[in-house]
Amino acid sequence: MLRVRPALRVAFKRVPRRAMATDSIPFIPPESTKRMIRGRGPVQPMPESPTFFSGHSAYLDRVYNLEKQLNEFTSLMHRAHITPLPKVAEHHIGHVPSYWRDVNEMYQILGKAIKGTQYRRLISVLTQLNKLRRVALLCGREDIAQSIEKIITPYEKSNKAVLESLSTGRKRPEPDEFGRVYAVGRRKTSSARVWVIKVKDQEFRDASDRGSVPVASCIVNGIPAAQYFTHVVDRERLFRPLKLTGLLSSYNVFALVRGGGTTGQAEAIAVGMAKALEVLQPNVKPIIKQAKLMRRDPRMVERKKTNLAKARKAYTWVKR
Amino acid sequence: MFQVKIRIGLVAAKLQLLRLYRMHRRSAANALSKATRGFTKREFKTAQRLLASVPSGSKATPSSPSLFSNTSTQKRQDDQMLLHPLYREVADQTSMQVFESELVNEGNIGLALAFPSKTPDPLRIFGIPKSVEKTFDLVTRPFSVVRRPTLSLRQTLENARKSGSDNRIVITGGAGTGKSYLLLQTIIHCVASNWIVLYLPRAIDTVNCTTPYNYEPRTQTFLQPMLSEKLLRQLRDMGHSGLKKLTLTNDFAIDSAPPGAPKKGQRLIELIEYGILEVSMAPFVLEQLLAELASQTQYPFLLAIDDFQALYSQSQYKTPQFEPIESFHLSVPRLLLEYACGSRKIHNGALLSALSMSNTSWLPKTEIYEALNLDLTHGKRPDAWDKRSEAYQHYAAGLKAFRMPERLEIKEAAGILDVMKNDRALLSDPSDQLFLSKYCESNGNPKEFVWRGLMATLDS
Repeated sequence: MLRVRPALRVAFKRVPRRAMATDSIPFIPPESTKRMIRGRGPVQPMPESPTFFSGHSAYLDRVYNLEKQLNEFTSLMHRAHITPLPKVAEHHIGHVPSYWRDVNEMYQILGKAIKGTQYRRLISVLTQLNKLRRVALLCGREDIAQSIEKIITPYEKSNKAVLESLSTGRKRPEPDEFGRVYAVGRRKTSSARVWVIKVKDQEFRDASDRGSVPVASCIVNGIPAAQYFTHVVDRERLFRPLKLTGLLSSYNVFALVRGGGTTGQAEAIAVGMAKALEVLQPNVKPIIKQAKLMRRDPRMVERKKTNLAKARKAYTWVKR
Repeated sequence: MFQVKIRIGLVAAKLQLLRLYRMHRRSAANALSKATRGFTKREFKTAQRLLASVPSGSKATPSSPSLFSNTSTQKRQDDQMLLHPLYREVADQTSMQVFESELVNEGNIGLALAFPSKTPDPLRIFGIPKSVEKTFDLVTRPFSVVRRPTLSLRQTLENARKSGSDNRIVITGGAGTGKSYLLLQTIIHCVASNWIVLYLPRAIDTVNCTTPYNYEPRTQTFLQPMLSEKLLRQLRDMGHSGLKKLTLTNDFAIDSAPPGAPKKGQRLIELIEYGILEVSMAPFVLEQLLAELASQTQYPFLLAIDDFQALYSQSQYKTPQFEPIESFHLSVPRLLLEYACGSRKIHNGALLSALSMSNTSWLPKTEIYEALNLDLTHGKRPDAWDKRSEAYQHYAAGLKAFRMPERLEIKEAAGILDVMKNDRALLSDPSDQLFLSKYCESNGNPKEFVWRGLMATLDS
């Protein structure tokens, strides 16, 4: 006779049984007798989470949870008519600073090491939540902000307050007490420190001088730019920001440049000059942006690879 | 071979001229000079001589019928062809004024003035420095711009002439600041003011072993007869009236001189003719002639030298023992050095010279560097270990430096741009932006502004 649970045993007792050869009771572990479907046998235990059979259960649980909460808060903000934000407001908010734990610290939270891709996915969700929190705070919904904060705080660095106080964000160059602006420009291995100063208002010598205009002078490492850069192309590259913005009569430039060759140095100075001009005369920003003058050219010398003669050059192929 | 080359050059020139005349009737001389820009110097001179009879202007009628045949049919064809504005955009320098002393004043700074071409033309007779020649080839009509140094040098020269003693001026300045051009402007002014002018545009030619030389035991120097004869010939070709009026104050007394030597009381022109005839006597003739011109006070005398620093270094001549010869051991440089240091005085007039940084084999040496108190734009400063020659220091004593400004003024640069614009010498129609950017890029240096600024850019 099957040893069954008392409830079932009572039910089965009513049916008389004939004696069989297999009448001896087989051993069934007690745990597996806990859940049984009638006529079908024991049931497999349900995993607690749908990610049980994946390799990164804990990580995925958290990510799905965060994403679910992100969606919830987003719809909440929508219902509160805070989002979607107009373009002007988005631009004004800009970048929200964040101090997430790094990969190693996340290991301690998640209990398992995660790869870079996984880390980035986690961070991207957290960043979106952080931004929502900032928006909520700005719009006066502190309740939403606080609930978001509760969710994301475990993932932030422990010394976040210290870091916040230290970093003042990306420093925008400002004119000093003499009206000079200092900026740095780089290209390849050259780096230039550039000071841009307004040209003094010229006092006219006499009536015949009134047709004259002041002219920018550029001094590089203590030498006039025309003497330092002998190639015409380098000179043109150097003065390009001033030329395109039409400020050739307005600003003098003093630069200290190091590293690299002539062209690299000329372009490094040009980048620094463009950054400084953008601060001194904000109305020229569209021109500088369109001409990509503030862009630090990311091209660098490519490394040599093994089995190749140079970065790309291969050795002569030999048939035999 | 030489003859064949000339003939080929002539034929090529003729064909080119024919094509040009068909292309554009207006200002044949302008078109000619533009077309012959690519020719070699020899071919250019040949073509020039061919067309010497062809006057410029719309009513040009060529004198040689073999060159220009069927002119009436060509004229009719010309009217029908070439109506496109591209062909009408030709160089037009008719509005440019010719250099005159009255036009050079404070109010005209930046005004471009063409060099006068009426004979005798000192630029054609004496020649011009190489760097100036290259710049002349850029435009159809050689010109220069009135600058502030033009006025101040004129004043300085006048003061020097009046003082009588402090009249040895050297124009100094970095490379490409316009020293040779300023010297040319002053020479033109002096010629117009009836000065007697002797101009050596390339003093390097006196010391670079390009003319014959022979040792003279009496003076213990090396004479340069051909060079002296060339200078005498140039003076004669200038045809100054004073040469016919001034008389010798001394006999031409050289031992074993060929017969026909002029005597005291004879005219200077006869002395010059004697020196040209008897080439072996030319160095002595030149010496005496300069002495006469320097001592007389009736006509002001200008001794103008470009590439002045070449006189203050070892020459490229060698003795028969293959030792180098110093420049003061050569007759012509020695003469010039003696006038430079004041051993020989110019009583009415001046010695006006200009340094040149163009030739790197002949850069200013230690003695002239220190005598004129030059700066780093003239090359490396001499240090305590550089040798200083007492002889050259003596010859460099008493020179007065006239410093050129490093930058052009805006108006002066604008004057140059205007001329090049009218000449269609630029790739695009110049704008204020191009002008200012090229001015900034060259830091106002005239040579850099023209050659590495305007002529070397694809910008607009």
